[in-house]
Amino acid sequence: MSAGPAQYAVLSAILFALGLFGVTARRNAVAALASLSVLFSAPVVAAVGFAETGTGSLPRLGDALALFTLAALCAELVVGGAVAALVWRRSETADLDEMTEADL
Amino acid sequence: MFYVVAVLIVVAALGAVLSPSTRLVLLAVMAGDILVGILLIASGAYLVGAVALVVPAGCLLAVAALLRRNGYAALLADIPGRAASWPLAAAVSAGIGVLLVWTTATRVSGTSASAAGQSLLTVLHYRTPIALGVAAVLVVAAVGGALMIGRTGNDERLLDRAAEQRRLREMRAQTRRAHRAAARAQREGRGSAPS
Repeated sequence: MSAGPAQYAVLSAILFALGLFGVTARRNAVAALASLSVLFSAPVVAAVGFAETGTGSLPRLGDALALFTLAALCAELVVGGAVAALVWRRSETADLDEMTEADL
Repeated sequence: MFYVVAVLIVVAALGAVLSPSTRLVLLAVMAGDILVGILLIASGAYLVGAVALVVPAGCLLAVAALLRRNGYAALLADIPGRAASWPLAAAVSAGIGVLLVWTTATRVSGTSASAAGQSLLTVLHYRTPIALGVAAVLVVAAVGGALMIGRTGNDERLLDRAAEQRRLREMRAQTRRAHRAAARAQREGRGSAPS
């Protein structure tokens, strides 16, 4: 791997922007959840990229941070999927624009 | 190799964000997570890479398995288009992406690459034990909460069964009506036909 931190930062920024676009532009709950997963992978890439290609003065705190981000991603995916299924059972819709407080 | 994997990750992310089918979206996200895991392993973060390979893919498989259950198939098929304000969303996302590149990539390009310090397990054990505990509790609570939220109660199962039986009855009645109407039309056509 001959990539430096800048390359990781660019990849992370692209992933974050794509994920943010998906979260704000998709109307399907499952698709928005998937986009959120793309968004969450951006800090993982950045943290590991900076930790592995950094100056070496810092310990692997970046890796630890990435690990915690993955834990948050896992929690978000399972709870989000369960909530999407629950809302679907109650309102028969996955359209985020059509969901109201009454559905929840 | 970094550039090849990075391009594949961006392609998978584009597929996850733009694909018109929910199944393709889930497949693209899973492929993206696996590619991120490969990238992390190739970067030298073996433990994080292995976790990134296994955990998100496992969570997505669990979500996909839940949605493939009877009654949720339409949720996978139901994919409305983009929100009306998607140009604004695209502009804001592009702006934030450019800002991120400007604030990070242009500032860290001067740092030199060298080996990192302690091993990850040492850091987790000695420097971030509370955060590790909180993360573990978060994951366990999330899985438990998801099971509680997503479970179907006895009354719900009965209601679902009743609704399914009603739907089948209505379908059968509709078919019978259609057959009767067709038979009547056939009889009338035969009766009025010239001999």
